[in-house]
Amino acid sequence: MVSIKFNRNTLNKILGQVNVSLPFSNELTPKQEDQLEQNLTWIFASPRSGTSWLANQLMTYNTHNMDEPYIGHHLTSIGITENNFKLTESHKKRNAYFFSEKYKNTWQVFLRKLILNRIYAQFKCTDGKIVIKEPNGGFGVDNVFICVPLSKMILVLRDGRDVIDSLVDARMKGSWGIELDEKSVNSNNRINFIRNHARWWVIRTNLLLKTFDERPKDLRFKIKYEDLRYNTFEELKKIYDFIGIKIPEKKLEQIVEKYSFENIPSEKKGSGKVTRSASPGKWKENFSEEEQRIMSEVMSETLSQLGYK
Amino acid sequence: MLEISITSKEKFVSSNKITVESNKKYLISIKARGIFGEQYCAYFGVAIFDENDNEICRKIQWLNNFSGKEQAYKLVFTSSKKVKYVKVLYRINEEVPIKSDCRYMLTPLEKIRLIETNEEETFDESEDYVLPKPRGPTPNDERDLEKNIVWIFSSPRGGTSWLGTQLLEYKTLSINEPYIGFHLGINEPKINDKIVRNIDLFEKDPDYFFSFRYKKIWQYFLRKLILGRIYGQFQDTTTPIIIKEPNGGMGADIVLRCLPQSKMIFLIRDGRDVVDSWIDGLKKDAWFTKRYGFTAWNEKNKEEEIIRQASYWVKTMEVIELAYENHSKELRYKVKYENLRNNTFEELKKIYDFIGIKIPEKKLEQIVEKYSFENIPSEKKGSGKVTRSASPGKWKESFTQNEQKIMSEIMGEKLRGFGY
Repeated sequence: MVSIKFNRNTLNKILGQVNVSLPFSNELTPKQEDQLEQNLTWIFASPRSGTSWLANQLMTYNTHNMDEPYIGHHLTSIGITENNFKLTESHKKRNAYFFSEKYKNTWQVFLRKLILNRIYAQFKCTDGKIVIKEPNGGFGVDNVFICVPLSKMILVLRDGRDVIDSLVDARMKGSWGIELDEKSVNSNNRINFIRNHARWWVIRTNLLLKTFDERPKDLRFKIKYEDLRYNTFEELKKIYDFIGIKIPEKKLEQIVEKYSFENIPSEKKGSGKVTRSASPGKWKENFSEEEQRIMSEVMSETLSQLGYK
Repeated sequence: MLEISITSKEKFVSSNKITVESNKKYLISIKARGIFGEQYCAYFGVAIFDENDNEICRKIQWLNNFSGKEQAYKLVFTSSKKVKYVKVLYRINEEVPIKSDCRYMLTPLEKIRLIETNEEETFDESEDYVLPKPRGPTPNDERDLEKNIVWIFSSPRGGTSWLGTQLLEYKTLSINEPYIGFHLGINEPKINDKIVRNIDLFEKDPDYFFSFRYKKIWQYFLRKLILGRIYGQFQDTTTPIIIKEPNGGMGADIVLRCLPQSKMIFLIRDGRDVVDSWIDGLKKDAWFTKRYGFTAWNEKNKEEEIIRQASYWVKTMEVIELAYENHSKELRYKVKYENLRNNTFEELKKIYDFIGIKIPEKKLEQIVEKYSFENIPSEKKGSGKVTRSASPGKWKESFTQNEQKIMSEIMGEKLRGFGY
């Protein structure tokens, strides 16, 4: 691929228009694209599954980090309906749809270029390991890997009941997550909130598992939040091995210690804060019997499939 | 030979365990005939296991020849020090990057033998594949294509199907709702009673994909993506392409910033009629609820649905209006649905002029007549159907005083701005 240098004059000649500015001389070559792609590690999970801890703290040794680009979110749209409406699924047979099956060979190539060149613009390297935390992009996981199939995937699983517990806490009046949502959770809407988010968790988790199963074995890694929480050193060691970074044991120990929940100052954690309790099973204390029954109805099959009792 | 004929949704997985010695070179070979399928949907190979049944590594050969002729595939590998046994295997539509309808004739696994050899190692790495690369548009193609694109932005239920896929059919190509604007303009639930798009919420965060800091880069490659995708469909850079994008109105500004040489038509319809049309489409057994499985509104939550649709209309109109104002004057056109409905011939003539298509008056008359609401058979229109009433002002009959008040509070300012 030829790198093209643009300046304002050449741009105007090409586009005949002044109100768009184009870059740039450093579009990735196919070889650079391939190298960059192989150095990407995407962390997918349901939101509130510990991805911030893993990606932005534990995995910061010799890595670059991208904290929620939301590209996965843009690559799909879902609605909870009887058919679990997902835009990319329900429209894929329509040839007019941008991401249609029929023109997949076209859009995946250009979307790959968009993704890789956008990431390169930020980190300016193709040979360093880049960890991309994308919990809110989980519904677009399939489209991401269609475009960058050589990149790695880490799937973080967490007991869905703790996930819902954390979400409820985030959306309580005065809590941190309330800025991002329409309404706070209150006694009137609490049951519906729990039911809806339990359904979202099931749909998202199943899609993530399906995509994970379809990935080549050497490009995928699955971990439970609970295992990472209770056996951080050993699990993290495996994760660094998986992404291809040699980390000295001493350094690993330091990282585990530095970012342990216990070492976060008490004023920076607790109910209503982004970092809350890191206590697997806390849902048992926080939900009423009825709420637990509703969660069980919706989630039990998926929970049991993941080994949660 | 073993015949495999499967769809892209099915998979074929076959493995056969064979004991081997450590640190030795082995050769295996098969014959395969690929009759149809896509490259990289299948391979044969060996998986090497240790005594604890852990897979150490995998050596494979892609089965990429679909010439219909039989081909011999050979794989030479060295068993590792820790090896206990290997599994010879086929994988089709499983653990591969491409899923495809395909048909193969293959040597059955049980007939495959491992032979000790001194030959050089020969195998593909499992990640040794490339995505099929289509021929993309050249920069000249991109420029010509961009100039021939005409976006129709509006709110959903604004009359874009009639305009985009019927009235503008003369000497044009058409794309009926690509939804790219929808993907780009995706929005969050309300914040402080306002619908907020992700791009507006996160653009200051440099890690956000469409962040302000890296705008030049993503705009450049997003332009390539949009043009490459459209080119992939038509391979035509000289014919005007009408893109009806009502559900993509939320992303109108992003699309037009990437393609500043394309044209836009801003179709405006009285928001109260739009909401009326939505409420009809979202009732029990109506077209939208049936098609997508969405829950119909009921008397308890009807007001909530009205608020939702009215708020969505306001936000969509805000985005499109701003995109319109920032677009080159000679490349933008605004029309009201009500004017188009009441004076179709004259309004349509102006639109064809704007696009740059000379249409004979007789042809124009024929099109207007052919696609008039009155000429749609009665069984294909009416309440609960995609094409409903095309009657501006019908909202006055459909909504109660209170519902009208709710709409007025949300949409009043925007409606007045458009002269309603």
